[in-house]
Amino acid sequence: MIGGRSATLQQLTRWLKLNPIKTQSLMAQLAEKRSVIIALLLTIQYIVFSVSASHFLDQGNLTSILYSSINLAVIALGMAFVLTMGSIDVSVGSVQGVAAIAVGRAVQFGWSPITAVLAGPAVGALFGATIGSFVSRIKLPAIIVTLAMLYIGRAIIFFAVGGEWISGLPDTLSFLKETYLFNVIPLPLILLVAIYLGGWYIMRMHPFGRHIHAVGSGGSTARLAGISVHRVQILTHTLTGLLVGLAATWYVALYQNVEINIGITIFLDAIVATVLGGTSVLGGKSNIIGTLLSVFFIATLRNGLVLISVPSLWVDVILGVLLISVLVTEFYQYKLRVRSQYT
Amino acid sequence: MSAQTFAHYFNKYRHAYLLIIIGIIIVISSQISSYFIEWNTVGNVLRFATVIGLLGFGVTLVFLAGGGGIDLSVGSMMSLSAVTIGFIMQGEVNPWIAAASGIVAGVTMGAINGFLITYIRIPPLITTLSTLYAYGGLAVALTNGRPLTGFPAEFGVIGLTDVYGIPLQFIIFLIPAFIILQWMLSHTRFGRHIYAVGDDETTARLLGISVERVRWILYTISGMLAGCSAVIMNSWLLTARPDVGEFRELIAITVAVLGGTSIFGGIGTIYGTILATIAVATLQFGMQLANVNSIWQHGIIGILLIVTVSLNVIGRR
Repeated sequence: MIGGRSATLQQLTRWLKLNPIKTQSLMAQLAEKRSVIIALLLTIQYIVFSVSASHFLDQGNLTSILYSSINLAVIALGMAFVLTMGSIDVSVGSVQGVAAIAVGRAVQFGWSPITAVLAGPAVGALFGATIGSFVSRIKLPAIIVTLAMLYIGRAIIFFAVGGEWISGLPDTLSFLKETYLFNVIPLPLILLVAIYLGGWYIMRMHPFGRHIHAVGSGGSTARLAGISVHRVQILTHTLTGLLVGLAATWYVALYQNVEINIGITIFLDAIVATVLGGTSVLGGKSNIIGTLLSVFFIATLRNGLVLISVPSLWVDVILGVLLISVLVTEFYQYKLRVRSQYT
Repeated sequence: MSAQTFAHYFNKYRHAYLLIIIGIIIVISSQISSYFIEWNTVGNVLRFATVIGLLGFGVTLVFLAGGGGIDLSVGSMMSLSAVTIGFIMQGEVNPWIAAASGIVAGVTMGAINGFLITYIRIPPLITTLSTLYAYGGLAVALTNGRPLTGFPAEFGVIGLTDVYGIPLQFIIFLIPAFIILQWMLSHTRFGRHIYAVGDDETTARLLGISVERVRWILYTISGMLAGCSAVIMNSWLLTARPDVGEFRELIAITVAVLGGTSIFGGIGTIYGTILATIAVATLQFGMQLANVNSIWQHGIIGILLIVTVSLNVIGRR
């Protein structure tokens, strides 16, 4: 069957988990892999931007793309967790803001770096646990709880900083961005890879990831299989909050200030990254590598569009339309597939 | 009295509780500001209530039809309609034609939402969340974030005229919308279909009701009401602000659930929503008089939302 193909191709086939026996050609199967599509999009994007914007490939610019990707990537991973569980969190921006204020104050008061680093995740996890409790115990839809939390969080931010910025922070946390391993690999990149490996491990290898998928698939199957749905809901929302708090720590380390409308656009970016990355909005299906690739895609898009002088106001429209198009394609394909099963 | 019992009574005697809440808000506001107990207050509260109520009606209808229905894009539809009116007005056409085209824009946007939800079958939550950004972003991007001016003074007649102290917008928009929609819900076949679809989708389908058609029409009505709100706001401010609809989805959803609409569909009335509208409008005007920052106002309404939804869900167990 596969005798005609070279050994390398066979190896590649196995590695990408394609099915050599299927009647579809290997190329067609490859084109259905979400990560492959996004990697291709990312490559095209880099070629287009490096041709059309002269300073795109400068080292400073690429570093700034990397830094903003890290912020988005950590939040998008959290979003992937909640979406896979069939839930949603629209309050990530506000939670990041509150957590960033906690980190900023900790730095301002001259607390030790460890305390400052942990302040963000602690506050984020607290918010996540609150949201999770409302969702699991009172059984409110996550959208209502997090929509309310979005505005409550904004009020807390306003209360905590009183309309001014927290700025001119001492460089307690600067070691996070200034350390280089072997003088070449930036520490944040390693942290990012570590966090995503952790996320991938939880989702693919650890039983908890299976539980998240089971709860997200809906119905009573998860409960009948003996999974505590309450526990999974609370823990997943807490985990998301924790990741958002971690992003807040990174934000403070990077910019050394906290402004009043921090995180106001991060939700859109995070949800586009997760959905484009192949995580289902219906729950039960996740794609961690796809999410990471889409994060780079979106961070590069935001950066590149500004460089080729597209007004930044248009980026929200482009991302909104991109989100709708991805969803329309997915659901239309799904509809056709369901129909062809019955006819 | 346990929380469960209280929640139960809150649901059972909702309208009495709403009247009590309005009373409490009036008492507190009059203590905080000496300007609250005046004849003007009625007009001002009703002026706030008109836009809140129209958007709240749309969200109420969408919630009623169930199936996870929610409309988060009401505010953005309102912004883009407002901007549409503003742009058409720049062409020096008759202002009433421009206003009508704003409503048409709202209908179109609502119909797009409904199409994506019922025929492509994207979940309502994620659809309206995407269009929240798409419509709202478009409104801001097309105008570069600057308000459009150039409205003739006679356009202000809707938003700025009072009839015996009652704002004209309340008389010609909210009261007719209230009467028509409540009549539709309780006296027409379509209204019964809405409750049937929201209560049990499968049964409604077996009865021969086109669930998709019912829901699509409701999303379109929500868009139309957002378009009407845009006309009112443009007439009131005599400018077309691209951010006029920001944060309105929060208030619209709060009003709908405070009025007793179930977020899971099948339960709710328009007169519940209008009572809740008066309550929230009074609260907002009171906070405005007390000089409460708008960020605080939204935070307070957020808390109100989460408390009300919890009471609704617990009381109906």
